Amino acid sequence: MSTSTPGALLHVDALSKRFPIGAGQQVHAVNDVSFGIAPGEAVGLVGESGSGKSTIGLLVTRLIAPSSGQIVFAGQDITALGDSAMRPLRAALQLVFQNPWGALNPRMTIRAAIEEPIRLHLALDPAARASRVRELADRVRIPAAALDRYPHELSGGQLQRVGIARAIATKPRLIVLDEPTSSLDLSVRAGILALLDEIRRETGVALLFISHDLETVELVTDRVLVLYLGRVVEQARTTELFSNPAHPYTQALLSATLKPDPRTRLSRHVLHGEIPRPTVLPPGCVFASRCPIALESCARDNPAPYTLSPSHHACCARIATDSHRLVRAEATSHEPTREPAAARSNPAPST
Amino acid sequence: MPLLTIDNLHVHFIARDLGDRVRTARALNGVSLTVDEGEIVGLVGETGAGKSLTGLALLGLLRPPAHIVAGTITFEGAPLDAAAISAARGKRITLIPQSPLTSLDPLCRVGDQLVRVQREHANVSRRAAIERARALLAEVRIPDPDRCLRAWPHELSGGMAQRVLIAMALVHRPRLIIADEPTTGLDVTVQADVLDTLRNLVRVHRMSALLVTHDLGVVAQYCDRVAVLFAGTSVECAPTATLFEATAHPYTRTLIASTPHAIRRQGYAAASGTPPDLYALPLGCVYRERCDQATERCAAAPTTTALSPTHAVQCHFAGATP
Amino acid sequence: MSTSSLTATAAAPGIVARSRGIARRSPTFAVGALIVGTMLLVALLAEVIAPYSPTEAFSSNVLNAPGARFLLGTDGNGMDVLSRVIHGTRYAFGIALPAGLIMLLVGVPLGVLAGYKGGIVDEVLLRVLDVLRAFPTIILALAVVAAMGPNLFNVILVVGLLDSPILARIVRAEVLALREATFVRAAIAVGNPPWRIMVRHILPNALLGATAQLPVRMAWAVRISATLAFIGVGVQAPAPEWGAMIRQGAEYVISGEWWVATFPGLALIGMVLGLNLLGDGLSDLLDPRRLASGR
Repeated sequence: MSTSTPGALLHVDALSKRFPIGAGQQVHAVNDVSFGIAPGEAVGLVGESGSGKSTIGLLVTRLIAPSSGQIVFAGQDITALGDSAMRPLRAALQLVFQNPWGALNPRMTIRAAIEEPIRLHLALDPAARASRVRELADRVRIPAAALDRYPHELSGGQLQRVGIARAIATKPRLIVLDEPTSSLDLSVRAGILALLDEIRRETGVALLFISHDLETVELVTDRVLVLYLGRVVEQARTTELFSNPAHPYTQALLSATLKPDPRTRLSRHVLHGEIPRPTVLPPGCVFASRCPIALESCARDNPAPYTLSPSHHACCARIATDSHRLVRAEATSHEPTREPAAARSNPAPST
Repeated sequence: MPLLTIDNLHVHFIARDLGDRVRTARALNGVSLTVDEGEIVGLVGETGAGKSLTGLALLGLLRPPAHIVAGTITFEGAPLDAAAISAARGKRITLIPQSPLTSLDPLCRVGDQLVRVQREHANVSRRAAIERARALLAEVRIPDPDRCLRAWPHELSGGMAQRVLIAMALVHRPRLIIADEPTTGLDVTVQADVLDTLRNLVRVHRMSALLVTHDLGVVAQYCDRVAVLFAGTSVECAPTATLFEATAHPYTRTLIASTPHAIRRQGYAAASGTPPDLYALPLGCVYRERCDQATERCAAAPTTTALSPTHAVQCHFAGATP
Repeated sequence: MSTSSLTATAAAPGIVARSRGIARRSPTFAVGALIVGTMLLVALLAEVIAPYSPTEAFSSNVLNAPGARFLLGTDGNGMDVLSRVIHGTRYAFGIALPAGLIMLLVGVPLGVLAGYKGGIVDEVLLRVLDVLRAFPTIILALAVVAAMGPNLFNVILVVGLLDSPILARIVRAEVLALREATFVRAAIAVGNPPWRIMVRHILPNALLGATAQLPVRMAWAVRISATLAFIGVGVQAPAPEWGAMIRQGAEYVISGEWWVATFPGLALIGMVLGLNLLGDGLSDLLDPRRLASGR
C-alpha cells in the first residue's frame, strides 16, 4: 500500500466512488484508483464515456465526497474535509469545466466573474483588484471591451478563456481541466491549448487534464492514465504510452483514433460490444468481456499492475507472458483502390 | 456526370431584431460542390460555417427566416426544385441525423419504426416489412437483429441507435445519404465502427454520401473528397490526399495546423481569430479579416481557381507560392 | 466594420422601435402591458378623469340607466357608476401592488432557502403548500379576514401571505434546477461560501421566473380581494371597490338594472386578464434561451 509520495502535490490512493441509483443498485463510477501528480506536472486522464474520468475530477476537487480511499493535496488530507474547511484550499486547487456556455453565471458580467476568485481569496483593495482583472483578461487575451458584457454575448472560445482566467486568478498549484476543449471548434481549440501551454510554462502550475481525445492528451500531458469502467488499466509517461501501449484496451483505443492525415492508414483492432453498465463490477479484469485476447482466468482474477518500466504500469495478465499484443487486422478497413481522379468531373465551383 | 451538383448556393436569414430593424445573416455565401456516384464527400467547417445548413437545403428543409437567395442544386441531372426535393426526400436522398438518441421516436419500438418508414412510401405487407427490417439491421452490423427489433430506443446505446438510424436511411436504397455529424458524441472505438459500416454500405450499394463533420480525422480516414466551408463559402474543394498535402487555401492550412497532430510536429501557430459574424461579413473575400496573407486585393471577392481538374480554391493567391 | 468579435449592439434603438420589436416578439405581453398600463394611468388620474366623486350620492338620480349625464348610469345610492369604476382601479392596484410586494419579500427568500438548503425549511414549505392546496383558499381568506376585521390592510396582508408559499414554490423549483447548474458548481469550485452562492448566483437567476409569475399572482390577489368584498368580508360598501360594487349591484340585476354590477365586473375581468397576459408575455420575453438566440 503506497502512502503519500514525498514531494507529490496531489496524491490519490485507492479512491472509489459509488452512486446509488435506487432499488439497492449502485453505479461503481470509480474503483480503487491511485495516482499522484508532482508539482508542475501535467497528467492526462483518458477514457470513454462511463470510464469515471469526470467523477475523478469532481472527487479530487472535493465537489463530491469519495466512498472510500484517500486524497492528499499539498500535504493535507482533504478526503473528509467539510465545505468550509475546503474553501481556503480552493485558491490553490482550481477547476475548468467542459461546457464554457454553462460554467458562467448568466447574470454576472465577465468582469465580475473574473473578479470573483480574487475577491474571495486575496485581500486586495478595489483598485488592485481591478488592475489584477485587467491583467488576467490581458493574459487570456479577452478584449477589455468584453469585460462589461454578459456571457451570452461572447463566443465559446472567449468564454473558455474567461474560465481559464478565473482558474488562474488565485495562482493555483493545480488546475483540473475537465474536457476543456471538446466543445470548441478546431481553430479555437488550438488557441486554448496554446494558452494553457503558455500558462504552464510561465507559472509552473500542475494540470490534471481529463479528456476522451487521445490526440489532445498526447499534446498536453507528461503522463497519462487510461481508465476503463472506473479503473486505471494502464499508466505511463505520455511518450511511452503512445509508442508502446501495453494494455489491450489502450491498444484498441489508440488504433481507433482517426489521425487527421490521410497517409496514416487506419488499421484498427475491432472491439466487440460496448462498454458494459457499471452497476455490477466484474470479479476479474474489467475489460475481459470485450478483450479480443482474454483468457478464461481473466474473467475470474483481477490482474495486478505489471511494471513494464519504472514509469509504465499496466493491468493485464497477458503482459507477463508477452502475449498481450493485439494482431492488427490489416486490410479489413481499407478498400479497393478508387477509380482515378481524372475520371471524375470538375468540382470547380463557379462564381 | 456528377450525381449532385451544388452551384454557388446562397442562403440568407432575414429577420427583425428587438429594435425592429431588419437584419440579414448571410449564412451561405456561395457553396459549390459536386458528389459523384459511389463517393463519400466530406463537408468540413466550424460552427456557423453552414455545413448543416447545406444539408438542410439539399433536403428542402429550410424554413423562414431562411431563404435561398441564389444558386442551383442539380440532382441526377435535373434541377432540384421544391417539387423534386419532396419527391426525393426520404427515398433517393436520405438523412442520418446528428443526435441518434433523440432522433428515434421514444414511444415506438425499433422494429415498428423501421416498418413505418417502409410503409410511408410504399405498400408493403407487415410481414415483408419486418423481414426487410431484420435484413437491414443485419446489414448495419447489429449483432442480434431480432432483439433489436423488439427494443425500445432508450434501451439502445448511442452506437446502436446510430446504426438503427443508418438502417432507416437505407430503407429505400437512396442514391445520396446526407450524414450530419453522424458520430459526434460517440466514443472513439464506436465511432470508427459506425463509420466503417457506413463506408462499406456506400461502396457495396454504389450510393454516395455527403459527410458533414468538423473532425479532420474523420475526413482524412473516410472521405474521398472534401469541401472546406468558411462563413458559408466553400473555400477549397479537393480530393482528400490533395487537400492535406497540397493545401491551397490559407483557412484550410490554419485548420490543419490546429489539429493536435500538427501542433505536435510544428508547434503552436499564431492564435487564430474569432468566428465570423454572419451579420457583418467583410466585403470581398470572407476570410479576409482572419487571413495573415490578406492584401488590398482581397477587398474584391476571389474567383475560383482550378489548380487541377479536381482541386478548386477560392483565393486570390491560389497557385502562387504562399 | 471593425474586427470586434462581439455582437455589436451599436446605437440603442429608439423607444418606439424597441417597443414595436417587443410587441412582435410577444404580442401577449404587448396587449397585457397596454391593458395594465392604461388602468394604472386611470388609477393615477382618477381624480381628474372621474366626472363626479365616487361617493357623491345624487339622491334624485337613483338607479339611472346609462345616459348623457351618467355615462354608465347610477347605483342604488345615486352614485355615478363610471366614477366608481374609475376609482375602483385604485383599490385594485392598492391591493395588488402591496400584496405582490409581500409575496416577493416573503415568498422569494423562503423559496431560495427551501430550494438551496432543503431540510426542515423545505419540508415545512411543502407541507404548508399541501394544506393550502387541499383547503379552498377563499374560505381560508374569508375566515382569517373575518376574524381579524374586514379592512383594507387586513385584506392585503392575508392575500399577500396566503399567496407567498405559491411564489415560494415557483422559486424553489427554479432553485432546485439551478443548484445542479454547472455555473453553480463552478462557483463552489472557485470557493464561494454558501450565502454568496445563494445571493449572488442562485437568486438573480431564480428571480427571473418569479418576476414573470408576479403579475399572474397579482391577478389572483385582485380576484380574491374582489371575491371577499363580494361576500361582504372585504372592503366595505360605500368604498368604490369592484367586488363590493358587484355585490351591491347583484340585487338589481333581477329587476333589470344591469349596469350597476356589469361595469365593475367588466373592469375586474379586464384587470385580471391584463395582468395574466402580462405575466405570460413576460415569461416568454425573459426566457434566456429566446434572449440568447436573437434571430
